[in-house]
Amino acid sequence: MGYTDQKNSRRTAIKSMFAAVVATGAGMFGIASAKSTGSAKLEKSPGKDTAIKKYPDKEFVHQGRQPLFSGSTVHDGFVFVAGKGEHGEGDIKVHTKKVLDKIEEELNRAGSSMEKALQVNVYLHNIRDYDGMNEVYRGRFGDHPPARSTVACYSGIPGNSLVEIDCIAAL
Amino acid sequence: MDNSIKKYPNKEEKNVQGRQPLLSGAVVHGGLVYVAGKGARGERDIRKATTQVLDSIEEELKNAGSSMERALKVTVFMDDLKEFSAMNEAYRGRFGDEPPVRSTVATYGGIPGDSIIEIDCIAALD
Repeated sequence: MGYTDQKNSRRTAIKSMFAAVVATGAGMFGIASAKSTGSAKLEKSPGKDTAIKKYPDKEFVHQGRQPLFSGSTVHDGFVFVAGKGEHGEGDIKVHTKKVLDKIEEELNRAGSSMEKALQVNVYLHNIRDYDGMNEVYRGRFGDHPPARSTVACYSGIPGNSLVEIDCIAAL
Repeated sequence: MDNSIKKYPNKEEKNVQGRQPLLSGAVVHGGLVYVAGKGARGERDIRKATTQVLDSIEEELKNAGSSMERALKVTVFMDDLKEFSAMNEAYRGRFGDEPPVRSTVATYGGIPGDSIIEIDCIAALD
């Protein structure tokens, strides 16, 4: 955790700034309870939080080698969640639910939530699964869901997953 | 709040006088750098193509004041999923011990510029 440790001392001082920024952002996304402080001011330096936190991927075995990817990365009030797939049995609804569960778990682990998701990419194995995916997807990110882009990439998703979803969220 | 945006020109597109570029090589804003999707024109070996593309990404990151270790999110577009393992071989370790998150899909014939792989990236500035 090189970067995290190095920059730990800065974190506390920055926390209140984070809160203000998140609150301002939340206002934009229509979350009722959020209120802009108005006085929040981000300056390049000193005090700009350059720390990066990376949460290891828990799903795959890396056999002592360097991992291929992290489960999520956190920087400056943002959480980036890895593209998640489902590699077990089931149809598009089962896969979509399990993938969104994995996304939710990563968001919660990083200190965010489905309601704070900003941008989502959905990669479908087949466009005919679009309606089934939507059925399960709807409501999972709350009343004010994130922006979303969806494409199908015929047989192009690793690990035989019917859907792959990634996500950027606010802390 | 620093609202400034800095854009680094794409060096791969030929500069034609009087014509606007299609895309930038990297864009910096709010402590983040967004690197354009990079390809490897004409390279048919997936390991070599992956290395070449990651070299381009590394160059853009350094040029913008970041590094592979500060990459946060990567998207990999492959021409054919059959080459997933070989791509991973060339990819593993390039972003250090704590790599960024990644999404990978294959888009069969869907990558422009005669490339069998395209990778883009979001990273934090130093």
